[in-house]
Amino acid sequence: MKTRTKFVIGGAIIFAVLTALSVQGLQEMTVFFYTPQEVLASPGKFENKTIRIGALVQKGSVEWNAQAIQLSFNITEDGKKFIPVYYAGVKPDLFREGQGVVVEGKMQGPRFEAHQLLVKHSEEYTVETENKKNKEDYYKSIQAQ
Amino acid sequence: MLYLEWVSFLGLLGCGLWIFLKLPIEASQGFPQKIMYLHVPSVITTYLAFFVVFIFSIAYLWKRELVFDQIAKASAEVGLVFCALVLLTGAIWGKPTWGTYWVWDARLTTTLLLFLIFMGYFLLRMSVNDRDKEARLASVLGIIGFLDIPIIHKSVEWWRTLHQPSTLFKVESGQASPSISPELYYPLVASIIVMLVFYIYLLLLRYQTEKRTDRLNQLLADTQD
Amino acid sequence: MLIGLEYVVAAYGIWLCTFVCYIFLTKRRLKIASHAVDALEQKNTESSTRPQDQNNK
Repeated sequence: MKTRTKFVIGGAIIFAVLTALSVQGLQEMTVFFYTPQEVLASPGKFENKTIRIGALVQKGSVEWNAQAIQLSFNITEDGKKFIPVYYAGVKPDLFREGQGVVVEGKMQGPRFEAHQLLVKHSEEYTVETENKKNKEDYYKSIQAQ
Repeated sequence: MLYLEWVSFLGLLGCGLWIFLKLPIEASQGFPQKIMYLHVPSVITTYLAFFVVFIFSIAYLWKRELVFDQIAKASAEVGLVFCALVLLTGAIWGKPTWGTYWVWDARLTTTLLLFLIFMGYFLLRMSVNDRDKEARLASVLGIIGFLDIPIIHKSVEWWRTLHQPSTLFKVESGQASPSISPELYYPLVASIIVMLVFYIYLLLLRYQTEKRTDRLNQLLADTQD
Repeated sequence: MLIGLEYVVAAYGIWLCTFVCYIFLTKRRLKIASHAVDALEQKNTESSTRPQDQNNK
């Protein structure tokens, strides 16, 4: 009985320490990306720091230069505030206007220079090709908190 | 058991034929969406396998019957195989869809953590020679390890992740409403059911092996006395 | 042509190969353990039914 009690107490301590450590570590992990609003609200905080921003690609803002392999577009969360993004890389297959994306890079003045462009897929699966995804739905899937 | 073997093999074959010969191509992702029929059922099977570990670990600590530990051990091994396949199929799906095999977001990281916890579970078992002590320690780790699963499942709701929220368990205004077309939904449900049957078959096969191995070790120990 | 075919083939291929190997290995373990258990149990019953054999040694 005594050894068991010791064992339970020991296990509880290890578990508590592990939990505390992972909560600390999780702080970084839990916010995989910031939103344009957060970045625009406090520019000083993000200056010269590599960050990820998750938002929607603004309709009609995509410019793709296939010769120079340069992609530029605006991202927005609410359709009101935009961040222009510049990405020197190949356009992903699933990259579309109105699509959710996560870009990784740095703010250079008002512009975001991305070195990675990820497509954020929505949780909707459909077979209708002309089905246009509602902006509200994307807004919901991006705005996790 | 032979019966279960054939039911699950035919079920898997049937699902495969349905998925590749009958189903339309999904609108936004295209052909790689087919990976969903492996990935999602494997996820649910992983959850179930480690839930069985959780239940039988508690049962062992309570009743101290070796049979409970044998079931927990068998289920943990099958669960670990499924967990590895969840990570692999997810990575393979991620490349054409997201543009990357791996990111350190909350969903992916907590799933990797689950895999590592149960790798540790088997290392722990191997490092202990006394069968009862092995069972006791593994049960504790099995219970703790399972607690990661609710975190994995809720990670896409609690935190901002690249991984999309749940399609299958989507709830809208208090009602379950999976956001997937019926043509794509029914084969998914069928795949899940078939994979759970397949899991039960694997669990029984692995449990038989475990029982026999323990009996063998018992006999060997007796002859040495 | 189907875009992304190689990913689907890779995913289904890995999944299938994993379980083919896993079932094969588990069945082999079961067979080996069963044979060993049967052999040992038979030896035990022989030695317990004929204790004089051991005394003669």
